[in-house]
Amino acid sequence: MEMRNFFFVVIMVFFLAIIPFFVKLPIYLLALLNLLLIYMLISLGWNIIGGLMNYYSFGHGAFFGIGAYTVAILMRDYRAPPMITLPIAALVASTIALIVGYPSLRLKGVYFTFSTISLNYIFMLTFTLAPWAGPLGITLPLHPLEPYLVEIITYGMLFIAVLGSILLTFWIKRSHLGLAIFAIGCDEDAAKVRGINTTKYKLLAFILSAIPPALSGGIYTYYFLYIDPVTVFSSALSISAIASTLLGGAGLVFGPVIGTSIYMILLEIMRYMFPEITGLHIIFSSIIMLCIIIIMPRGILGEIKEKFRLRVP
Amino acid sequence: MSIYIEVLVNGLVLGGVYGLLSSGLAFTWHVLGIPNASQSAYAILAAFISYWLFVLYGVSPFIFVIPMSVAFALGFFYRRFLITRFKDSPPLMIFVVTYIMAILIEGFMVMFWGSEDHRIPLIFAPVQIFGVYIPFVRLLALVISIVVFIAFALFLKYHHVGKAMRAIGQNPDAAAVVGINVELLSDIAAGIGASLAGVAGPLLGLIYSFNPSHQALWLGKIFCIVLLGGIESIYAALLAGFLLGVIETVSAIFLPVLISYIISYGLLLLVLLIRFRRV
Repeated sequence: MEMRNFFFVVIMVFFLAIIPFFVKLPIYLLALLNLLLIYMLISLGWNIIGGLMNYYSFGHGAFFGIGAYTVAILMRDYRAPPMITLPIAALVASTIALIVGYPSLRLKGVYFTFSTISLNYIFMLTFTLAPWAGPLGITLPLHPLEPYLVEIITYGMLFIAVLGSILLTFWIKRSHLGLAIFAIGCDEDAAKVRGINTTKYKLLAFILSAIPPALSGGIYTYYFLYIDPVTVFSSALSISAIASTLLGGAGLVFGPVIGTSIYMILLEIMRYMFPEITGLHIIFSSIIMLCIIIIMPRGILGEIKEKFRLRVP
Repeated sequence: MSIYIEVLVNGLVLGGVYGLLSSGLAFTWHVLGIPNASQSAYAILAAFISYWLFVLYGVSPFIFVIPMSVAFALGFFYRRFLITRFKDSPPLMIFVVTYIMAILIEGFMVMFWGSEDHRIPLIFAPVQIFGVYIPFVRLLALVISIVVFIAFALFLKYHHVGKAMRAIGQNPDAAAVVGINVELLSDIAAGIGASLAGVAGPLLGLIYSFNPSHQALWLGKIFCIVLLGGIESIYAALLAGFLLGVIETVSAIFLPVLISYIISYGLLLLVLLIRFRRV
């Protein structure tokens, strides 16, 4: 298969993805698609740092929560419209990524991972104890619209955000930054010897990787109109982002897209089969990650690429 | 004045339990050469098991046999069937695998016990020592954690199996040359490290409330302790545990309560930056 054929497939998927704007789909399907795209955004964010650079962050779901809270607080206190709140959410998340990453990205490889272990929980505690958030969460002062309209508007916003994130990953991979972080992922010392300012590029990648989860969190807030610290900072978000990226193929632009789709479909089937189990989400994602690491460490798209000698981005 | 003594004692109690938990982690890290991110998940699992035993069957949580043996079996088979598969992988991958196992244990705990806060409902009258009232449970927890730690240290220092384990930690190839069964003893060492968590878990469960997602929080704390003390010595882990326990409780009376939660994260980052920046 040539590169051209691959892009043909991508364009077909794109046309499939814009069908909901023209045809009235059942609400259940649209809700499932929205949830899928929310998760896909977190995976796309994690892929920039975990896939391209091989720096595993276990606290990436924290940026989801930060995005959600930024939007919720702006909505509650200033009644700001989505056109303003979503960019501010991305900005706030990148700033927090800068603050968190500035010290911790001076560490290398596994030591950086050590420093991200309890990051999710720290943010959850912060937002539980802080006076402007609180343990009860925030309910947005919005009147709920007609259900189908809510789904389709959310789908539109998510669609644009996912498209933007894919283009961002593309741009990173093609640019100077992408080369630098790829070199860091392969051999950090060699990259440093070659004259790459590793800390600067790592920090840049970390800041960019915080943007898609923040957008996802912001759109989630508009979608559900209620957030609380335990759900938006749940470690299950970070874990499922890692699991689905590894499933699809870490370091490939379309890895998280394919991975999250398969992951969410499998999860939905499991939920349908065992509706009464509470921790299913966590168990399922950890078992998937374990199987992927043991059976095919490159992920589905990575294995296909290797087997058929494709030039998939 | 008495509040300061009370706080100091609370810090020591917390520190003793932290020290026990993280000396198990430091020991397995030293012997097996891998950081085991499941250590705190074992502890929470042990706490839940002894919670269940106490609530359902009235078994005293101070009888550690069942949680300890469950943790031992978990650690043993975990190293035998999972970790040995990843012998040639980079350390990041092995750490990720152990973290995934921790998440898996967390998921099963959520399935069985839900994600609410639990606490082992055992209450004793406080005792008065030098004019200070101290909850008896906490005093008992401190004594038990120190006794178990001393037993563990004596085992490592004088028993021939303990000596063999230390030899594996220093040089596995040389240990194999002098006739030590490296594979089996590594499995047993993983089990012993886990069974220390099997003691520390119920003790923490007696003092504080716990839920499955606390494993990530405790993991950050014990990594902070182990990296502060260094993995070569279990005594350093105990001391660092006391240090963190006292810092956390003392900071809780002077600073906002949030700071005392974040302090272990800050300390972990500081230790990592000072010790491992040039690695």
